Amino acid sequence: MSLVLSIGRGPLADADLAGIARTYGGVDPRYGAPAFCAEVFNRNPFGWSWHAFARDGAEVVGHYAVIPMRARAGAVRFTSGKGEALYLDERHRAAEVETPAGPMPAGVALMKGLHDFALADGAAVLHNITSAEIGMLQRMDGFRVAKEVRAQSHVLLSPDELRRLRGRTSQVLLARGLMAVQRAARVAAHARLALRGGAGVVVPGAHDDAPYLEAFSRTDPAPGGWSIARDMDTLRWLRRLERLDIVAVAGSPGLFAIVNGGRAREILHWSVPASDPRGGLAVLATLVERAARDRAWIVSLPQALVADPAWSLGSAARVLCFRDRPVDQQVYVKAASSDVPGAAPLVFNRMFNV
Amino acid sequence: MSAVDRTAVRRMMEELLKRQGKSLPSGDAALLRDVGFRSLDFAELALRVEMQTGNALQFETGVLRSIQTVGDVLDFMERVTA
Repeated sequence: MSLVLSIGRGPLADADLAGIARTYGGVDPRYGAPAFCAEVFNRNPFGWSWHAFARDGAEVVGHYAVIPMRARAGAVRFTSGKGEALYLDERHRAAEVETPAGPMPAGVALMKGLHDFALADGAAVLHNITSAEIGMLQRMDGFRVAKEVRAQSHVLLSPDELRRLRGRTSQVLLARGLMAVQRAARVAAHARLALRGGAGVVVPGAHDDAPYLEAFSRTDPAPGGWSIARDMDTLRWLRRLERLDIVAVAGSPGLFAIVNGGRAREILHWSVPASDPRGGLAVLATLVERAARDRAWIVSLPQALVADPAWSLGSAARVLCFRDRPVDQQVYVKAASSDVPGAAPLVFNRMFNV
Repeated sequence: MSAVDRTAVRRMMEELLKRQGKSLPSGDAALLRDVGFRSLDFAELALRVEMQTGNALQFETGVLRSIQTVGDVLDFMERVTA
């Protein structure tokens, strides 16, 4: 059995998109739809993704992508490539492939070959959010670990979070109790808002979200460091990928919040002032309900926003029984050279995820 | 950095392989691909060594290419934790 490695840049043909859907789609169900793969890899406003495929004959048995994303450090924009959709069929995980540098383990060759290619083809930085084991392989390829202990407040939504705590019975019991308390708090908050004729909310769709995205695009994602840019192109693309959710106070288009999509959600923007606590509660409760509906397992709030007396987020979080918890966040980063902007400190938020 | 001796590393390798229903030959000359010790196993081994020493391992790029046998793994871990 001999695997062949191929590396290049998109756009991917339908057969390759189907190959990713058939393989990596089993790991992340979103990728099971070729249309989603096409949106991510072929219709990215910052260019086609870079891809490495491992094939056994004509069959795709392994894949890895680097997705170009626009990053920003102060006023400087540059491309950071996000590692994504790494897959190698179990039958081939001990296999080697031939590379110009000699035989190499197939999984390592997928990653290293593509990282080298993307850095030579315009990516100033690469970033990856992955397991400690894959991260170790990336460290062996010259990645450094950007670590951040993030002060956050959380609401737990799903038993999936409990499974992440498996083996620690006391923590599972505590988490289960917290989930029950937070669920009851949401029910009580909705009842309170309904009884008092609470503030209504709107959920803008693609036809009327421009004012919200434009306001968000004017915010600096990373004072003193670098992060994913909030250009309109980026925001529109993330909206098409259902990676941004917006909830606004009805009749007050300046008062709204933005949260990322996916299983682990985080407030990225909040502009409901402390003078409108009911509006804040309605917006946060709606964001949490929408996250629960989409089977997210957690919603997080940056404590800097929670603690800011100018905003209503702190009071809304208290009513909904959010609990403080520091989170260790690790991002694996490799810069093309030491003088690119990506060598500055990375300021993490959930826009780093696709 | 506190060193991890070869016996301890070998024991960790045995544990990793045993979990997958595989066994580690007694000699150092066996090829990793014949043993079924994959790159992800090497990564997990390195993480365990880091946990034991309490220090982050430093790697030269391309390290995996030079590691072909069980003895190469033991030599490498001995070297980077020395």
